[in-house]
Amino acid sequence: MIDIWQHLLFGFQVALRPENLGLALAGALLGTVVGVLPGIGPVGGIAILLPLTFKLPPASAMIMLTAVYYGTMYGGSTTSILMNVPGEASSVVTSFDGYAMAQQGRAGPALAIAAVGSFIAGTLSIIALTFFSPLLAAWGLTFGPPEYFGLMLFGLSAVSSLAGESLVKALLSMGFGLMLATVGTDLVTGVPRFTFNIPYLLDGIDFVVVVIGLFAISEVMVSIEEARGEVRLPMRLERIWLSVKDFAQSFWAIIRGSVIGFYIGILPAAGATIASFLSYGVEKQLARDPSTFGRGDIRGVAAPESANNAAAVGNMIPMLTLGIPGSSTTALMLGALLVLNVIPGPLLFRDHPDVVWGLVASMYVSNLILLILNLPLVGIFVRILYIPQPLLFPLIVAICVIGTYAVNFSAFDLLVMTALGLVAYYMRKNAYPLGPAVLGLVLGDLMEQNLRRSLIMSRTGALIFFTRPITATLIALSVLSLLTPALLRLLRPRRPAQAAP
Amino acid sequence: MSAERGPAARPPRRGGRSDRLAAAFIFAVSALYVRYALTFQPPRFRSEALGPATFPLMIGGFMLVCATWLFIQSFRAAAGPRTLRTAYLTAVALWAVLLGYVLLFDRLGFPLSTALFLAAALRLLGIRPWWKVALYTVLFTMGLYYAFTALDVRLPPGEWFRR
Repeated sequence: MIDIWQHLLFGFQVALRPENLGLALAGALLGTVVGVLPGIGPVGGIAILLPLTFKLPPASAMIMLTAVYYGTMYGGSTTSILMNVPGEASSVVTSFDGYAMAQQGRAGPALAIAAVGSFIAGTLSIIALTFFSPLLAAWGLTFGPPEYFGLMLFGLSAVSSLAGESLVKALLSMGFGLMLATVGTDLVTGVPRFTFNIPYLLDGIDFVVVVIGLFAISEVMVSIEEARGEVRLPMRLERIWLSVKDFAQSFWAIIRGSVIGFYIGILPAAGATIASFLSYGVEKQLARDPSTFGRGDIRGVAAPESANNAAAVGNMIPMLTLGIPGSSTTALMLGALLVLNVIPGPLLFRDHPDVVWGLVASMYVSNLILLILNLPLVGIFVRILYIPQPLLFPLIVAICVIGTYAVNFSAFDLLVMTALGLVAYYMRKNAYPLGPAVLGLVLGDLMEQNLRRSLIMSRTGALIFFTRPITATLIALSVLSLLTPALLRLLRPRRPAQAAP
Repeated sequence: MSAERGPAARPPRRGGRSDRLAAAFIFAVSALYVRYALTFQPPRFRSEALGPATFPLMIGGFMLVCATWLFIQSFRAAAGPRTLRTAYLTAVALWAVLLGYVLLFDRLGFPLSTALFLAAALRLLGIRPWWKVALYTVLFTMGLYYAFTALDVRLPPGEWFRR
């Protein structure tokens, strides 16, 4: 117990250093802007900002990225409430009641409860993370390469099974990411692979380049296609406030949302979107009069906003303690840490306590910054939406190009990014989820290394994956997660229209 | 957490034909990938449990299976209503402009290539008249230059200007 407080105290000393506080502030502001902007989602936004953090010490870099991530979540809910334009999938539910409230002239309380709920949920789940992750990390220390291989397999299959409408497309997306990960010199044998004698490819394809291409460029292209007309605010923005009555009404929704979000967040693949839908459903079930939901019930804003924030924190746990990301965003954070030569996993808690605890403490700090900053500044952030999209999109693309160039100062990277942008545009248009590709890309190298180490330590060849209980369980879970969608479909009665010819 | 946005994440479901083409394409690429992987020779005097080719071969095999699966599935997909798609031309045109930009980025240097790109893209997305295009182009190019230089990013001045 005392240990944890000491760690946390140490973390706050890191997070509250003036330069880190400044980075958190800058990150929160940039993140909110990205969250509000159309044409760029959280993953693409974080990817573009990644090159800026390369020169920072690892702890500061992670603090800034966390603040950006948090900022995107806040920004996403703001547009969801005011304009019925969810900035990201995890704030879709918020728009149901949030936008209804805004139309009734209650945008102030809706925005306020979103911010307060997020803050409470964030704080509660950070406390839970503080106690939970050292335990998981200690358990993770007992893992050998086979367990890690199993864990990665499970992470990949869980994400793919939940990622989109079509399992096979999710798996193809995952395979695409893995294929990209194999480009470059093989770390163990030194053999160049898939380099086509192009020297640039010997070091592999930089994941920042891939992510900017996959997420940012394609997102701009899709947004151009779906460009909406002029943006108009539904009403004048009055002061953002929250009455005691509103708060009392939402209090338990926030607490329940936090708990649901946190546990869902820990599971691979589930994450913020599912957590927000689930907590909304729970509140509706528990409500004495469910018909108020969808018509501007404040609990319908409080619950999903708390849940998606708690899930964002929960998501960090498997990434930090085991080195297995459960979502595109945490995959991106993992990639950023790897670039900074910090390898997440159980050893991180021992070798880089400043990164771990500084990061944890900075979550508290970012939450507080966003709460203080966002409420008075919402009006200004929303003004970003008045910028005509034809002006915005070329600017975003130019920033992507410069951001990509800043990674290695290589024109070849620019070509790779551009090509991947087109591929990802096709994927988005045809319902291939992009999350599995990023996860495959980030995990590919690690998977191969752990597969190799497992086989070297094994005397029974591939049997090692089935004789170790944890590994076998994880592999069984992977298979199960892939079969789940098919099983669910079998259990559901078939509609005649869907019958196969 | 899925990072795709709500509307973008659910495009209209289209018929099976485009999936079938995609499946064939993925199959072909994966087959080439496997063929390339088969040429990897492990260095001598090393008895690794796993050579450089094994993991890529596993992935390649997996992709071949999935591509076949997609191909079979495409016959079962209901031919949904084909949505009117004209807006995609703008998106693809912007991509083409972007391609030109990145090809010229090193050669023309940052200021000139960026200005050309911005002007073309702004015009493409409907900014009129020309003086507005010019104004925004100059403003954005200068803004980007100062912002990134302040962040210590070295931007290429352009080969042609260095001589």
